[in-house]
Amino acid sequence: MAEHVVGTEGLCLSRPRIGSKTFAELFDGRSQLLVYHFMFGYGTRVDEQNPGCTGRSFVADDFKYNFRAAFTEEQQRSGAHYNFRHTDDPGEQAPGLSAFALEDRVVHHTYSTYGRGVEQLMGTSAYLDLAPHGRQEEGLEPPAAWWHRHDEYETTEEQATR
Amino acid sequence: MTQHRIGTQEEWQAERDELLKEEKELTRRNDKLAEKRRALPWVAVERDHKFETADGMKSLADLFDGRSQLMIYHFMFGPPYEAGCTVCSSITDTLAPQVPHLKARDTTLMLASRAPLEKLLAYRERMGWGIEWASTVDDDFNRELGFLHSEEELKSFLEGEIPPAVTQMAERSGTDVKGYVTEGPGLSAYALSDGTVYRTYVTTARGLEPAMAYYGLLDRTPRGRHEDEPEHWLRRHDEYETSASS
Repeated sequence: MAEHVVGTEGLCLSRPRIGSKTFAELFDGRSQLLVYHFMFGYGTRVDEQNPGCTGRSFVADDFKYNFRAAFTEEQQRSGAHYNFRHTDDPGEQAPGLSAFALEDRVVHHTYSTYGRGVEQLMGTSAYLDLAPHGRQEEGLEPPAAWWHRHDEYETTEEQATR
Repeated sequence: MTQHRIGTQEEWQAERDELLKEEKELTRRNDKLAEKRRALPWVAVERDHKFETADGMKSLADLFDGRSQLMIYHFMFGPPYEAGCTVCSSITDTLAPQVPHLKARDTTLMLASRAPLEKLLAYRERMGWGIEWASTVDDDFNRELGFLHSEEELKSFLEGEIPPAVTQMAERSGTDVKGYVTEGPGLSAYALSDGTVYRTYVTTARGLEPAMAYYGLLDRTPRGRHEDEPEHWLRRHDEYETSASS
C-alpha cells in the first residue's frame, strides 16, 4: 500500500500547527482506525458558514481519491466510481467511511461504505424511524433539504417572532 | 504475522460487492420495518402523568414543547443511584447531539428518570449534555412500560447468579444490584393529536442499539466489538484514562 502522508497542519486556524503524520501514525497506538471522509475540500472557503477552519481540513495527497470519496475535475465531468458503481455526476466529494487494521506495521484496508451505508451511522435518521411520523421528508427535494449544522437551526423564539 | 486472510484489492472488491448486496437488502428491509412500525396502532395515554422539569411541573402533553412528536429515553437513574447508569450515559452521548436535528423534524427528544430532579440536573452538568431531563413524579409511567421492576419481579434474578457486568454497573452507579436493576432502560415514542397523547412505539435492550453509536462503528472495524473480557469495557466519557495517563 502506498505511504499516504496525511496533513494535519492547520486543521483549524486557531489550533497550533502539528505537522504531518504517516498513515500508520494516525492509528495513535491502537490496532484499528476508522476514517470518516468528511466532505470538506481543499478549496472550501473560510467564511461565516465555515468559521475558523482552513480549506485543508484533513487530507492531503491522494487519500480521499484512492478511497473513492473525492473526485478529480475530469471525473466530475465524465463520471466516476462511487458506492461501488458508476455515477455520471459524482460531484467533488461524497460521504464515506473506511476502516483499517494495523498489524505487523502494515496498514490493511478492511472496509469502506458510502451513501446509505453511512446513513446507518447517522443517529438522527435511525431515531426518526422510531417516531410516529418518521422522517417526514416527502416532498422535499432533495429529501435531506431540512438538514442544517446544529448551530444553524432557528430557535423556537426566532420562529415565534418572525 | 496476522492470522486474518490477506487478499488483493481485486479479491477484496469482489467479496465487498457480494456483501454490498446484503447491506442494501438490510437497508431496504429496515425501510420496510420503519413503515410497519409507523403502521402500528396508537394507544391513547389516559393516565395524567406528571413530570418535574427545570421549568416546573409538566404533563406528558407539555413535554412535546409545541412539537407533534415526543421521544423519551427512560434513563436508568433511580432514587438510590449516586450517578446515572454507565450504559445509559453512553447512550445519551449519542442522543444529546441529535436534539437540534430532531427539533427540525418537529420532534422533541428527552430523558426521564425516577431520581429527584436536582440529582439529574447535577449529573447532566457533569456530563455536559444539552438535553431536557424530567424526573417522573409517579412510578407508573415507567412501570406500565416494564422499565420499573417490583421486588416480586426481581426475585428470581436476584436469587440467581448475577453477571459480573451487572455488579460492576451497580457499583459504578453507587448502588447495589437490587437498586440498579429496579430500573430498566427503554425508549418510548408519542404523538400529540387534537390534544390527546398517543403512545406509538416502545423498545428496549438491543432495540436501543441505534442509540449506541459506538457499536455501529465498531461493527465496521476489523475486530468488531471484541467484548471477550468478563469486565465490561464501557465507562462514562469522563472516566476513561487519557492516553497521556495510561
